[in-house]
Amino acid sequence: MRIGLPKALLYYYYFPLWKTFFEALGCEVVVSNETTKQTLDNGTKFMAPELCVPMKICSGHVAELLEEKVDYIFLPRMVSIHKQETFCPKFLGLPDMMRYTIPGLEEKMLAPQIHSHTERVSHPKDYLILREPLEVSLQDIKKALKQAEKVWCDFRAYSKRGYDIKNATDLALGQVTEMELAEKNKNPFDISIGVIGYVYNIYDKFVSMDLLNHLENLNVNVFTFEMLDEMEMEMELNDMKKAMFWTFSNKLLGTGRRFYHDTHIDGIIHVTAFGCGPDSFVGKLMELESNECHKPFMTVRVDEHSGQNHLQTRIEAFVDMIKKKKNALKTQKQRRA
Amino acid sequence: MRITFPHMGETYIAAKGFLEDLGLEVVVPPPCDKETLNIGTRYSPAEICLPFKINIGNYIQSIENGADTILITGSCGPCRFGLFWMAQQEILNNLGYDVEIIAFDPPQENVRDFLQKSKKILGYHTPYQIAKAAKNTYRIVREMEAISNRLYKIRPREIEVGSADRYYKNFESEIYHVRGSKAILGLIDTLNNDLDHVDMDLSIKPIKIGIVGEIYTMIEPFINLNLERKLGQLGVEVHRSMTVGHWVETTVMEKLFKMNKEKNIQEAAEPYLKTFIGGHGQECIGHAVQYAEKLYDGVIHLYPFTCMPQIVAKSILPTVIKDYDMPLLTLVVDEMTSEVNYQTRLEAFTDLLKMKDTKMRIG
Repeated sequence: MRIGLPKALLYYYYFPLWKTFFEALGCEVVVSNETTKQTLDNGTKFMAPELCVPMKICSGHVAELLEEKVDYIFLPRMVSIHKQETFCPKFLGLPDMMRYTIPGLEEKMLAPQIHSHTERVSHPKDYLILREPLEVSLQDIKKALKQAEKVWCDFRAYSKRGYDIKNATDLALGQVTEMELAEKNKNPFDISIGVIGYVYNIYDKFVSMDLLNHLENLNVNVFTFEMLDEMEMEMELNDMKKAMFWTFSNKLLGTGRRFYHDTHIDGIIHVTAFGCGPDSFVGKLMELESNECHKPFMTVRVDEHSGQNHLQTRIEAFVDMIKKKKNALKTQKQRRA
Repeated sequence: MRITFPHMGETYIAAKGFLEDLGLEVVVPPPCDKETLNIGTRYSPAEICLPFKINIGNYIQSIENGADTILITGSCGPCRFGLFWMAQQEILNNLGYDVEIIAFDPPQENVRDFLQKSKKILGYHTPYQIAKAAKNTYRIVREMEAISNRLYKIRPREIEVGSADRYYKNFESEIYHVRGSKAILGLIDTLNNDLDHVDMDLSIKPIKIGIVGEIYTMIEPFINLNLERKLGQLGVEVHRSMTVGHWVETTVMEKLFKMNKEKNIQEAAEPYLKTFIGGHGQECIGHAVQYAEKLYDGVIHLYPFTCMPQIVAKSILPTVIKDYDMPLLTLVVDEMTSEVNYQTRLEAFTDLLKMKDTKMRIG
């Protein structure tokens, strides 16, 4: 049986888990191609105009998979992965939106409701509805989930050691070894920038316009939220009057604050998609704090009309400014010494 | 302690009555206008929804009139409304205003917090006094709802267009000058008497439109550019799917006494949207289905730009109206909405419905 996984939204965070899970159940996993302009245009055709870009991209990927003749498309309804927190309403309504807007999807959609208390979304009760379409038993699902959970925990461990999502995924799935990647040289450059943004924004090269590579080419160390330990993020949020409802938004804000207080981080870039509801809070709270912490903060907002050139210019200017500031401080210190 | 609260349609009348009955000093924010919106837009995040911006405008205008405490309700998500106060407090503090926002989150989340906050407001009043104030407030809410319903019926039928609204305007301007729920109920009686004297042509059979969508946008006339009045004057009998009373019932009664009044609405929405998505997204679908079943002539879907739950609802509504063969007009409002464009769209929509209606009657 061929199961389609759209390369969008939480694919970037849960791919090792879902891939292992379906393969353990004897299915073939078909992943859609990298996002292109065509994918987004395709998605825009189906979805409501003011929906955010990541959702439109997701529907573009789904449409692409439908043409690939897969038997089913895996489109989970992500409700919660943390106690007392949920996903944004668009995630909650995602299968319903897609069901009605993309013709031919309804019969092929596998939409289990993921309602978990932990990030390891591997509770068998969430996947019960897969028994019939995949012709497997509860025992099979339990066994497959155990295996998948282990791989995913490895993946997270690699992330926390500083590998980016792509490398961490390859490592966890055993496609490369650490030897091959060569021990990642931590902090090879002088300047470190924290990039905050959801996995589907910063790791989708089309959405982020390859921001991470741009930064590395400019000799900058890049840090993202999934490299931090959950405890560190939660500590930063302790003094909030009310925590946000959305798990990943809390992570971003916690990470952002961590970056503000971390002396190794020289600047912060927030990548957000136009129309992202939760980010309107994250962005504003970060902005207010930026004044207090005296650290450069820049927002990159992407929509379906964004051009790449302006981003290049802005990022270069941002990095140059930080370099200048750092050099000035250095010479000042030397003079004093 | 001088208390204020954000505007939301006629809610301020009940809130003012309740707080004044408890002997508190209340600063009602001036009616929402362009200035409110300008202030709000200046200090709010750009991509937040319009209700947030209007709130900020209301607060700052009230603070300038001497308020030092803000009362607002919270919610437990996933709609952004539940976090408004958290961000608003930060923004107001950052602007240098020394105010405290007291937000009432649903009690089941944190009982102690809820009781502490209640004590701050209710102070030394006896349960009897509180119950009495609450009872009178609930009466105001109910009476105001009855008045809205009367206006829906009167507007398309009145002989001199706008006469009912003139009485209503008078009533609203007087509210600011009275104190306590008794006086307010008195004013409501006068208004009801006045409305009795509006001349109507009872032979008119107006077309009927149901309004669904985001609750704040539906209830606050400034943000929806007086949608109900505009439609009424175009000869339409409107029905609004959510009211303040309904909101009080669902948030207070349901949470406190575990009554689920929404069950039939959720059931109506079930085939289209299976889960609760917050912000009345599921209810919006349910209401649209119910209007279709009640054979309304059309439905208007109203929400503020970037509203998360309503975008989901919007994606699903076309399927609902296809199944029921019912006309739908979607109106999205933000600070850039132009009144002329809006009016034209409403006129075109009502004309279409009227044409369809006549065709059906003739043949």
